[in-house]
Amino acid sequence: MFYPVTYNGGVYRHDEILELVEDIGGYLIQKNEMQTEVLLNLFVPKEDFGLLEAKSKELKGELKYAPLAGTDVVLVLPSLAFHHMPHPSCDIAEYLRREGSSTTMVGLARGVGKRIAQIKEEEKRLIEEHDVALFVMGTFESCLLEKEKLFRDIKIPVVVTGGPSKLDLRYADEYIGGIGRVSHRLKKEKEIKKLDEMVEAVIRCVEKRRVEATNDPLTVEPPRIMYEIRNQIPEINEVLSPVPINLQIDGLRIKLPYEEYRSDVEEIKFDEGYKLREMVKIRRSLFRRSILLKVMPRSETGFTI
Amino acid sequence: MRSLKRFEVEVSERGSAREEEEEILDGVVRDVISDLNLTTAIERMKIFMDPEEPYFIIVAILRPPAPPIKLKEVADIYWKGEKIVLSVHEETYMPSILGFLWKNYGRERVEQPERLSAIINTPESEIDKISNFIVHDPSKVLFGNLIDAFERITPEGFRIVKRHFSRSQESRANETFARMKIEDFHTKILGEKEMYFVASEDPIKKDWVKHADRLLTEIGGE
Repeated sequence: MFYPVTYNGGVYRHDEILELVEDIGGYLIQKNEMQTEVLLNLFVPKEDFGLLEAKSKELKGELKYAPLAGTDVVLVLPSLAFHHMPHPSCDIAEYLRREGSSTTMVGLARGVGKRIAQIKEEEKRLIEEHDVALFVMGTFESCLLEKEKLFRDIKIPVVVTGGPSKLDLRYADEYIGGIGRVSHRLKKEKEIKKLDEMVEAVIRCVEKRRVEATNDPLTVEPPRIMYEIRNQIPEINEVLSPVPINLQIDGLRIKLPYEEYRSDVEEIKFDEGYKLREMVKIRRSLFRRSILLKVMPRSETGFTI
Repeated sequence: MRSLKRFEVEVSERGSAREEEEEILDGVVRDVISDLNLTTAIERMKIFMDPEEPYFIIVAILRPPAPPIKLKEVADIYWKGEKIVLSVHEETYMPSILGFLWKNYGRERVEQPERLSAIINTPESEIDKISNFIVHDPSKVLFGNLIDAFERITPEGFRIVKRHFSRSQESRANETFARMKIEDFHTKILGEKEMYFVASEDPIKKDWVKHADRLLTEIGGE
C-alpha cells in the first residue's frame, strides 16, 4: 500500500530525497520548485516511510501526510454563469488543489432551476471518471431537496455544499451547509472554516475508498503505471499540459489521443512479465484527446504486482 | 444602520432554515449592489423569495439619477494661439472627450500634448459645441447596471420574468414592458421611479403579480 505525502524542504540536497524514494520503491508524482524551496508530492510504501522520515529530519525538511495527493476531484456546478462562478466554486477548487488534489470544474448544461433542472447521461459518465464529486449547490432547502435528482445515481462518492446548515440528503455521502450562493471571495474566518470542512469531507470519501481497496487490492498501483508510461511512451513528455497524466485512486487519465496511442498503452511491459492490458480496462475518455485507464482489482485478474 | 432599512430580504420557507437563507440572499444582494455602484441609485428595495412555489420578486424605488455632466464642468476651455485648448481636471473623462473630438474634428486636428490636455485645430466658433458636449450621462449607465443587478440577484433558473415600471403618478396596472428593444426601454425608464420584477421557472401567476404590487405599496410606492 502506498502512502501519499508531501515533502517541503530546501532545494539543496533534495535529490537525496528523490533517490531514497526511488530506492524504497516509491514514486514522485509532482515537483514544484520555488526558488530555494521545493515541494514534492510523493507516494511511498507504507512500510518504509520511517526511512523517509529520518532523511527528511536530517535535511530539516517537512514531511506531511497528504491524503488528497494523487486524487481527481470534480466540482459540479448548475451552470458556468455569474450565479455559480467564480465564487464559491473557484475558491473551493483552489483550496483542494493546495491540498494536492487535481480538480476539474463541470458546468451542467441544464442544471439551473428546480423543477426544470436536469443532468444528461453523458454528464454523469464524465463525472464518474473522477474519484469524488463535489456538487456546489445553492441557498434554499426546498430547492436542494428537489435537486437531489441531479446526483441520485452518481456511482462515485458525492459531497454536496448548500445554504441550510443542516440537511438530510438521501443520496449525498457528505453535506456541508452554511455556504449557499456567494458573490465574493471566501476570505473571512468563518468561510475558511467551511473550506476546511469541505476538504475534510472529501478526505473522508477518499479514505473510505482506499480502505475498501485493502480488501480487494488493485492489480497494480496507479503511480507505478505513471512511471512506466513516462519511460515507455516518450511522447508523453511532449504534451504541453502541465499535468499530462492525471492520477486517480483506481486509475489514471492520460492526455494522449485514444486512437493513436491505445495499442502503445496496452503493450506497456512490467518487470514481472505482465503487460498493461492484462491489468487495466482502457477506454476513450470523455475528455478531449484523452485515454482513461481503470485498474482491475485482484478478484478480477487473480494477481497483484 | 440606514442601509439595513433600505434593503429588505424576505424568504418564505417552512422549517428552521429560513433565517440562514435570508442571510445568504442578503449577502448576495449587498455584494451585487455594491459591485455595480448602485447604492446611491436605489431609494428602497425589497426582495422576496418563495422557494416552494417557486417565485421571486424584487420591488424597488429609485432615486433620480445624477444629471448629465457637460465638458465645461470638468475642463477649462479657451482660445489660444489660433486653436481651442482644453485643460481637463479629471482623467476619467479623457477617453470620452477624445472620442468626441476625434469623431467630430478628425484625429489629425486633435493634439494631446500631455495626459490632461488637448488642442483642437478648429475655429473659435466651435467652443460652444465643445463646451456643451455631455462627457458622462449617469442615467444611461445606471439603467444597464440596474438590469444587470436584477439578473444577477434573481436565481438563474427563473427565466420567465414579468417586468413593470411606472412613474408614480400613473396607474401601475396599465404599464408593463415585457419585451422591448433596449434603446426604447432606456427612454421609457428615464424618470421612472418605481419598478418590480416577478420571476419564476413557471408561468407567472396573477397572485404573484398582486403580491409584488402589495410589496411596492408597502415600501412606499403608490
